[in-house]
Amino acid sequence: MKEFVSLFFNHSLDLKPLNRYNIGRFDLELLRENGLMMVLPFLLVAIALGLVYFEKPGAGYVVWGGGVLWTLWLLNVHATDKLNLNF
Amino acid sequence: MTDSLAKTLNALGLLAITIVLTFAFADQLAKDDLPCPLCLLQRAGFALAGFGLAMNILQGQRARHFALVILGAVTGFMVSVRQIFLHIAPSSPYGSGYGDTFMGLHFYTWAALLFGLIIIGSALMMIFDNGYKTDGTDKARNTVRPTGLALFAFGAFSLLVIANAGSTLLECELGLCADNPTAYEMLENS
Repeated sequence: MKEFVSLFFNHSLDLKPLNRYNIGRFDLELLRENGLMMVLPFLLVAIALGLVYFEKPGAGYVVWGGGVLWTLWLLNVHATDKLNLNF
Repeated sequence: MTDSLAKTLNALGLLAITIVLTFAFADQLAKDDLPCPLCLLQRAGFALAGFGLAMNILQGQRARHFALVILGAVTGFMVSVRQIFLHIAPSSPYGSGYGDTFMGLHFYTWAALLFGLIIIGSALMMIFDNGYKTDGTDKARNTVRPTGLALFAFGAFSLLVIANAGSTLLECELGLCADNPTAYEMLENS
């Protein structure tokens, strides 16, 4: 897979520290990370609070549920990451 | 349990969670101690648990809101216990423990204890609340808009959640955070 992708993109796909990528260029790692937004749980809870405050508790439940699932997903990613994250 | 007592207890609970988030945030800003990925997930756990208490304040006390509190606290508890397990071994290459301590315990250990307390507290609130047995439903009893302490707790909690979202965006941009972060990625890249 790595060799195949290297045919099209002029950079290595070797694992590197997760925080090193450049915004603005196509990068499979960036694409992967965009699916792993750590900001999302807070964002979803903030949106859910707003929805409840403005009398939309049903939508608030759904958004809050998304926050829980995303947090659990991030925990799963952290626990199974090949970089063997320790913190 | 009377309505006013229930409302006060919910406000105090939310205030306690707000104080925890404020303490973590103050440590981050004062000591420039950036939160690690697991630390952020524990903060998210507090935010998720606090949402249930905010629902109690805004929509009236209901069993389902305590279910949200417990689910959020269990999520945070899993994260903090994972971090305890990662650092509990005396021969860990990362030394004994990670990050700052408070009264002899690391923050993630405190987090695990507090999540446990939140779960126990929610269970007790449901045990001592007789509002669910009146007509077989969990109808809300105090649906008036929050005032005073409840309003302050809700506002402060909301602000902290938004501040954490902003801080996490600065630190991690739109991806995962560095394993052991030392700088705000968005500020570094700008």
